[in-house]
Amino acid sequence: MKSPNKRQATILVLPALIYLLIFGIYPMLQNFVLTFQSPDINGSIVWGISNYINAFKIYGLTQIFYNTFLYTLAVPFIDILLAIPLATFLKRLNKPYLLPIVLLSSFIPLVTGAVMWVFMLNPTNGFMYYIAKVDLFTSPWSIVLIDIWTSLPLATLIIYSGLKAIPPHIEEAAHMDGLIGMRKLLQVDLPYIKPSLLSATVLMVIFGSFTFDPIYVALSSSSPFAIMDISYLAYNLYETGGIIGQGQAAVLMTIMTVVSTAIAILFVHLSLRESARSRKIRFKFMPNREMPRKVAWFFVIIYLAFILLPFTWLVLESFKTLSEIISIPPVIVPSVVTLAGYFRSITVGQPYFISSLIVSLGTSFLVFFIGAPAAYSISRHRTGGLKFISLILFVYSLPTVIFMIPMIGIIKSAGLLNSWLGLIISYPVFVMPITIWMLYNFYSTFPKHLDEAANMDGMSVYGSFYRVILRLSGDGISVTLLYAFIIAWGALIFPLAFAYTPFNMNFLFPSGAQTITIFIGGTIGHEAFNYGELSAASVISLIPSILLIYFARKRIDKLWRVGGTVG
Amino acid sequence: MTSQFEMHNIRKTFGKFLALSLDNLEFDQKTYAVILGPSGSGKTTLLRIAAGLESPDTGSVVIGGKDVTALPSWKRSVGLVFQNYALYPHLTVYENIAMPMTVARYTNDYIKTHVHELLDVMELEGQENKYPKQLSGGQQQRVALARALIKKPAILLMDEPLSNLDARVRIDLRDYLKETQRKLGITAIHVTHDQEEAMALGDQIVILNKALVIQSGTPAEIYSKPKTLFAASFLGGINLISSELLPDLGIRKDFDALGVRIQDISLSMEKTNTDMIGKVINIQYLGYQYIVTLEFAGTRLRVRTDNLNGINENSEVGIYIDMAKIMLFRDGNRIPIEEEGLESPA
Repeated sequence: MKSPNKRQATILVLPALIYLLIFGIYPMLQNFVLTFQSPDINGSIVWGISNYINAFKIYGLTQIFYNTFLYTLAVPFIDILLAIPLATFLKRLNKPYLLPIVLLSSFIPLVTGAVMWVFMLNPTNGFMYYIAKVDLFTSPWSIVLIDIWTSLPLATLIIYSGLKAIPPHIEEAAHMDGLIGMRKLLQVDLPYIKPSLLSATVLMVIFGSFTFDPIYVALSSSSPFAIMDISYLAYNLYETGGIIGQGQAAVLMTIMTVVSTAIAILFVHLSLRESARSRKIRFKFMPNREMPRKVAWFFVIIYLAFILLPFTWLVLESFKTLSEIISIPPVIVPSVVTLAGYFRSITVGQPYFISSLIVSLGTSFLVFFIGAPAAYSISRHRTGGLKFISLILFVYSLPTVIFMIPMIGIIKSAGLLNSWLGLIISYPVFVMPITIWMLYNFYSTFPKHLDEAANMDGMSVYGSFYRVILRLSGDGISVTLLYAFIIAWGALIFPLAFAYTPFNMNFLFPSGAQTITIFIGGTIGHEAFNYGELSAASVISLIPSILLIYFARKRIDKLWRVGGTVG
Repeated sequence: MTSQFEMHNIRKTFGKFLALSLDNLEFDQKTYAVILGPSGSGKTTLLRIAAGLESPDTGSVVIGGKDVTALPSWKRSVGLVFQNYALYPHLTVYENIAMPMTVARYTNDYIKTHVHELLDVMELEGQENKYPKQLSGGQQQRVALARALIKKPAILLMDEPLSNLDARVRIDLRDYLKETQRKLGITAIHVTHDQEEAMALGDQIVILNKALVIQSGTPAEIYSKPKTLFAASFLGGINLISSELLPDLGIRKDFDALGVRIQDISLSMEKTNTDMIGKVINIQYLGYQYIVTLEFAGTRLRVRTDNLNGINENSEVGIYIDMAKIMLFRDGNRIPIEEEGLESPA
């Protein structure tokens, strides 16, 4: 018989479990079913494998596969290659204010980041004019560049957290042994933080293979097949291809699911494997001295320039008058500062901002009410053992786009299409896994004796969670919720699929739920004269991210710390 | 004998907190020195300054006649055994031990010979391809010891090397440490808070408290002639009785407390002095002797005896203090029993 504690711990997990089964696992299976359905000439559904055959006849598929592989492999490879030195420099310089600045580009809406680059790389009106007058968006490497810019800080954060978590006695032992600088990095630090390196790599692989937002934004200034990947193609097929497209989209989504699953399994396998005698390299040729601080500063400044340049360009752009925005050669510092863009973006963008705010708040609270008890329960009471936490990581590793088609069915049948509530109930599928994972790590550092004391004092599992643990987890929960808010704030695929009009500005009978990401990402390029308004809206969209980084700056490396075997 | 290790005028502060202040400290060659003190006394700071992991605000560290204050750890001819071993988890036993030599770029053959020599000394032959987590605590400690010794340092430093082990292993390793130190003829500095360990191992003991050296000497000196109340009580096994509670013992009156070791009191059912009677509260049997706790003059006394002679719990017993072995303390310092020695206390 189960003890009452066990039963209560299980009940804390149930809402999250049920949610993930309905909104995560069911869509995945439903996709698979859809791949076998296609319409005949009369429009009725027939079962067969024609979707598979037709999906592979799509025009330009070779380029699309090539692009996908490029994003999946080049992005993590370059990210890790750049992140290791950056993390090392940050640790060497040990300036607490550097990390939050470096992190900026990973914590802003992907759409906003992509918009910055589209502005910057415009060969006639952008900063690119002064570097080389070429249009980078004819090549998929432009998307690789944006992806790296967006994900490098996160990879750096994970590696940096790992480096910071090396126990002082190991550092001192290395010091006693005379290991310093590069040789210590290669012989002690990197082997020690292998789990962090592994999870950074996997996260970057997942990130690269899902690439969607930059493509959506950059398509306005590019030819479609130059940069499109499978993720985007699947969305596109569904959006434009009707019921035939839906079946083929499902085929692509199923392929993506299989690939992500393979990556996830490989990841778990790699991290669980005992460190089999790895090839030991003797690093005798490596310099055995600390890098001079000046040299570290030099490189960090280059990194900072790379990270901050697009921000700077966007902010400058947002204060320019129309004539200076479109002038050739482009004006760098505006001669007249105008707030017109901000006024216009607030008036025109108002319904979008309101929707984003409400949906993101709603999602954060939903995620908190479902996720926090589950995270606590699996962390403290080992509910579901490894299975539940594996489910969380599995759903996290699935591309968001694959949930789209089946979820439309769910939302439609609930009568929630094009409404805030429709978005609020669907967002947690991509927000909750990371939130639970972060809180899971947070609660595993919580002293166990607190629960035991609460238990001795006669509190049940619920009692100890709501009356003791929750009261003490303010900092972990606030940062996690803010992060959840930011993911929701930057969401693009779901609002594109589930909302088709802006909010009607009627709070009694609200309808329409298009978000700020659609406002920013969807209008760029279509109405060129709106660039001032767009850049101003993009600047405003950065506010939640800057708040998060500001509030979390002191403990940010601890929340992303990954340890042990998974994650 | 030449002094192998010296510290002069060392001062170390962390912010406003004074961590260590000592004028002069010297250890001879082949000495097993123990630094003893409660936590926060500055003993670990002393060790870390010796190792070069901290640099002192002022003062100098001299090893083998050479001032090493400005040298980094790995150029100091010191080996350090960490409290929690600090073995590299990703390297095997062999690689852990070899690390200091690998860094110093010795040839592979040379390293191999030396590592195997130490594996033999440390009774770790056959374990060289295991990873630290596959070893027991005692084995890990010996690997850490081997790593500290591989470069044949002049000084072996050990930071609470036995505190993470369980009691039985601790006693075994204690013998082992001393034997190894004797065998290699090395100077060892061992930091601990355990007075029994200090007494068992040290050729020389240095007691630290609140960043200051309280006393330094052989275990016998420190035990029988503690200079302060702190030294006497920290070594343990002593009864301290406030002078106000004592009946007239026929000695000087101007002391605050009287100290007497637990073996320097004897008990008897015969009560010759009516002032010196106590009531037995508790008897602990330790297998080879008894510790008797009794109530006396409103305080508690502990007495070690080999023979109970019919004493039971609740017995009223006569207390006989060996007056030749009592210690008197005033203002925390020891004073002589006779009045005339007053001008040179402590």
